[in-house]
Amino acid sequence: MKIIDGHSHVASSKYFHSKFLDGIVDNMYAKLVSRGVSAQKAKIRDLYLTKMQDHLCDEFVGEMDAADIDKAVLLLPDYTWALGEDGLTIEEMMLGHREILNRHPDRLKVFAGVDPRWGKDGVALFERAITEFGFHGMKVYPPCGYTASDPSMYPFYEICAHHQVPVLLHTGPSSPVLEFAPAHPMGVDKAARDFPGVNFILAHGAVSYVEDCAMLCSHRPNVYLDVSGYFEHSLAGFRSLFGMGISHKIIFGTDWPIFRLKGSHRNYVNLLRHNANVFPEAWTQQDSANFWHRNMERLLSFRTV
Amino acid sequence: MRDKLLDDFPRLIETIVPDPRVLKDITFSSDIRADLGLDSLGLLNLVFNIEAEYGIDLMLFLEAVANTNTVGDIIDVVIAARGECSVESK
Repeated sequence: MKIIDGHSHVASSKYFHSKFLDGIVDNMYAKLVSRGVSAQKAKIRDLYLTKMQDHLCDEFVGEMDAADIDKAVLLLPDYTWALGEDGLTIEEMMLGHREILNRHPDRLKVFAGVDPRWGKDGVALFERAITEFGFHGMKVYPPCGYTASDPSMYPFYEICAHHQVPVLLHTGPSSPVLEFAPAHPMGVDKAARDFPGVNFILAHGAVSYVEDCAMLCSHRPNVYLDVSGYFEHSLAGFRSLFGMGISHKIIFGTDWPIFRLKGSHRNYVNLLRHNANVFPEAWTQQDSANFWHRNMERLLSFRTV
Repeated sequence: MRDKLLDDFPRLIETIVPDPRVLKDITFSSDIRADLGLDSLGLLNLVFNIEAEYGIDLMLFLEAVANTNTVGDIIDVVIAARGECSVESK
């Protein structure tokens, strides 16, 4: 079965904001201390960073090969307004992603975002990302402090509608240095109604707020969800989600490199691929094709640049 | 030295592994993730337990730790950190 990973990131410290990582480290530290471990935040941080040095995605493509993944979508959110610049501007990060795209043109696609508070310059940069850099969609990151239906997002959606590219927005919790409330999936509802020609993907929609995400996918023709960020315990709920008759709306995704310390990408993909308990008995070959590749393939195919 | 560290290993992970039955059958080739069930938090926990047990600092060996797959790999990192040999020369 052909596989497209609809949700991944460059495993590079250049694109992973240090404050974002600090928040993740704080949570790990709290867990370790609760176990009576004499932990050090600097060491936790550095261990994570050892797996964030694949700046051009050469290792990632190797991991994709081993996991039988044909293509992957790289997502670049813009933390620079909310958390401050951290080495690179969002434009420089986009240019870095263009270099990666040019290095692996048959394997990778890029969705990138710009914080709406950068104003007209940000809108212009996003349009260049689609028309000049060859990116295939927008990444929206509501935990930075705005909902997906905020009026300041609409100029970006006009561009997405014009070029027929999808919008993927983070839902659910994030690094504790950011806001969680704006990342509720219902935040997309008004935008999805106002922009019927734009397809919206609720990232992590099989892991957080699953009922709300499934409802939106069932009743809004232009709303999808991805399963990225799944882990062993969350798979228990997949069978119910997959049995809701929305296989045309569910997209496979991993969230590479978030689980990289847990082992190989192949093993992570196989958690789902070879789990007989996850897929309902009535799940057809067509459902399977929709999930593993066809839905994302379709959303990528509309782009007109 | 490696055998002694292997004998110590169950004690280092006994509070970390999700299934204590694995403690009985640990060998050098046991996969720390697939066989012992360690996740990223478990790996971090193991690092700090090793440091406390042997009085060593693994700060300079974190890349080697992150790339380990088996119990034998981890033991080789510990030996290297204790200055008894280098990871590269194992």
